[in-house]
Amino acid sequence: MNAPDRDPVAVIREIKQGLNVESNFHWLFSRHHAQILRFFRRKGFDPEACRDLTQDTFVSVYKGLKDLRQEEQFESWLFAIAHNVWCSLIESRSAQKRSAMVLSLDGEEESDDRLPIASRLADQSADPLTVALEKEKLEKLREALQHLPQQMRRCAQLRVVHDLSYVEIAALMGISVNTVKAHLHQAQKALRTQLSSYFEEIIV
Amino acid sequence: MTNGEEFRVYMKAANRTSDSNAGRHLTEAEVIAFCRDEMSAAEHDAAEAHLVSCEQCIALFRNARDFLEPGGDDKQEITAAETDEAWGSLWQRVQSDGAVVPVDFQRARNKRKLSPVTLALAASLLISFAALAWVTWRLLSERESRRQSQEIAMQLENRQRELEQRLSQVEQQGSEQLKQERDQRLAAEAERDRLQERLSRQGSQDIPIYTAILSSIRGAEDDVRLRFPGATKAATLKLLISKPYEFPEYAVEIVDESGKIVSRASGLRPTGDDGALSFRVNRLNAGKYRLRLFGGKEKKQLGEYGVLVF
Repeated sequence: MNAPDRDPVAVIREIKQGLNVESNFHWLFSRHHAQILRFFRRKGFDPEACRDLTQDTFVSVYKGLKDLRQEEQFESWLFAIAHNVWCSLIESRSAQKRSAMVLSLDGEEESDDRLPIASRLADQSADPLTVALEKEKLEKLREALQHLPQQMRRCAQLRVVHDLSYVEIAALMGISVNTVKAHLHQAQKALRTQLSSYFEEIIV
Repeated sequence: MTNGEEFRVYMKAANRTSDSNAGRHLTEAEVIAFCRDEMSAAEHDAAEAHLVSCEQCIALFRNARDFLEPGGDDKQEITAAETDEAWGSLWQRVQSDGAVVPVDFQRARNKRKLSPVTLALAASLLISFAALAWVTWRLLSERESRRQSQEIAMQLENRQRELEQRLSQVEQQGSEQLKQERDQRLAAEAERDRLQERLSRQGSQDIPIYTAILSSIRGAEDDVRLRFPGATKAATLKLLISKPYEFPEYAVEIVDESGKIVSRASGLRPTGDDGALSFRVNRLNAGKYRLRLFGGKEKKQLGEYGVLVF
C-alpha cells in the first residue's frame, strides 16, 4: 500500500506535538508496514510471527517517537527498532534452546575438538605438542592471508568466516559478483599453494 | 570435524586474533549509511575493515540489507487490505493499552480538554495577578519618583549655596582688584607728571629760545642772532612778523652763504597773542646765513633776513 506523498519529518513533528496523531501515525504505518513485514519474512519466521513482530515494532515506534531527536533519521531509527525486536526474539529462543540442551545432555561434556582454536591455545592443561602444532598452523595461515591482496583477503574472510553469499560480499565490498568469484578462486589457489602441508582441504 | 571445517575453524581463529578487528562496532545508522553508500571513502574503508572481522556487525549488515531491499526474493504480495487489517489491530492495541500512549500526546490531549469553568477561573486569576502587579508597579514607581525629586531638590540647594559662596568670593576679589588698580593708576599718573616736569625742566634748560622781530620784507644782516652754547644740539626760534594771520601757515628756510639749505620748517602756524611762528633749528656752525620766509601753501616768499650764528 502506497501512502500519499507527504514530508515524513513534518508528519513526525506533528505526532510529537499531539496533532492528528491517529491519521499521521496511520500514514507512517502505511508507508513502512510492508518494509517491516518483509524484513521479518526474510528472517524465516512464519506469517503469524511476522505479523506479531511487525506489530511489536510499530508499538515500540509509537512509544518511542516522542524521544526521537532527529526526525530526519527516522528510517535508521525504525531499522534499529526492528533489529532490536529481531535480536530479542533470537536471544529468547537461544535461551530456551540452551536450557533444553542442559536438560537433555545431562552430564555430557563438550568435545575438545569443538573448542575454538584460540581458547585451546590459551589452555595450559592442553597437550603441549598439539598446542605447538596448532599454533604453527595458525601462524602459517595468518602469514598466507597477509600475503593476499587486501580485497582478495577480505572476500575470503567474509566467505569462510562469516559464510556470506557472493551477492552479499559483492554488496558489502561494492564490487561485482564476478569479481568476488574471481577473488575467491585466486585466494583458494594461493592458500592451497602455501598451506597444502598444513591443511588437507582448503575450501574458500 | 571434516578437513573443510578444520580450515574454517582456523580461519575464524585467525580472524579473531588479527589486528583488523580493532575499532568500535557500527551503529544502525552507520550500517544504513554504509549500505546506501553515503559514507566518505575513508569511513567506508574503515567500516568495511571492521565488518570483515566483526560477526555482530556482519549480522547487522545482513539485517540492514534485508530492511532496505524493497522486494528481494520475497514473492508474496502484501495487499492494502492486509496493511489495513494490521493497522486496525495495531491501533486497537495502542488504544487499549493506556501506558502505551506517549506522555506528550496525553498532555496535548488534556490541554485541549480544558473546561470553560477552568478557563474562566484561570482568566480571572490571571487578571487578578495582572491588576496586583500593576498596582505594585505604580506604588513602586511613585516612591521612586518621589525619591528622585528629593534628590534633585537637595542637589539644587547645594548648588545654590555653592554659587552664593562663589559670588561673595568674586565680589571680595573684585573690590580688592579695583582698589589695587586705582592705586596703580594713581602711582602711574604721579610718575608721568614727575617725568613730564623733569622733561620740561630739561628742555627749558638745554634748548635756548630766541625771539626775532621781522618788521620788513628785506631784513638786515643780523636780524636774527643765534648762539648754541656748550653741547646744545638745537635751539627754538620764535619769529614775530608784522601780519602773522595773513596766511594760515608759513614755511622757513635757512641757507648758508653758498645757497645750500641747512634748515627747513614748514606748516608753521602762528600761535599766541603775538602770532609768533616757533620752530626748532638744529645746531649750526658759526657764520652768516640767510632766512627766507614763505606764506601759504603756494609758498609765496614774504621776505629774506640775515642770520648770524656765533
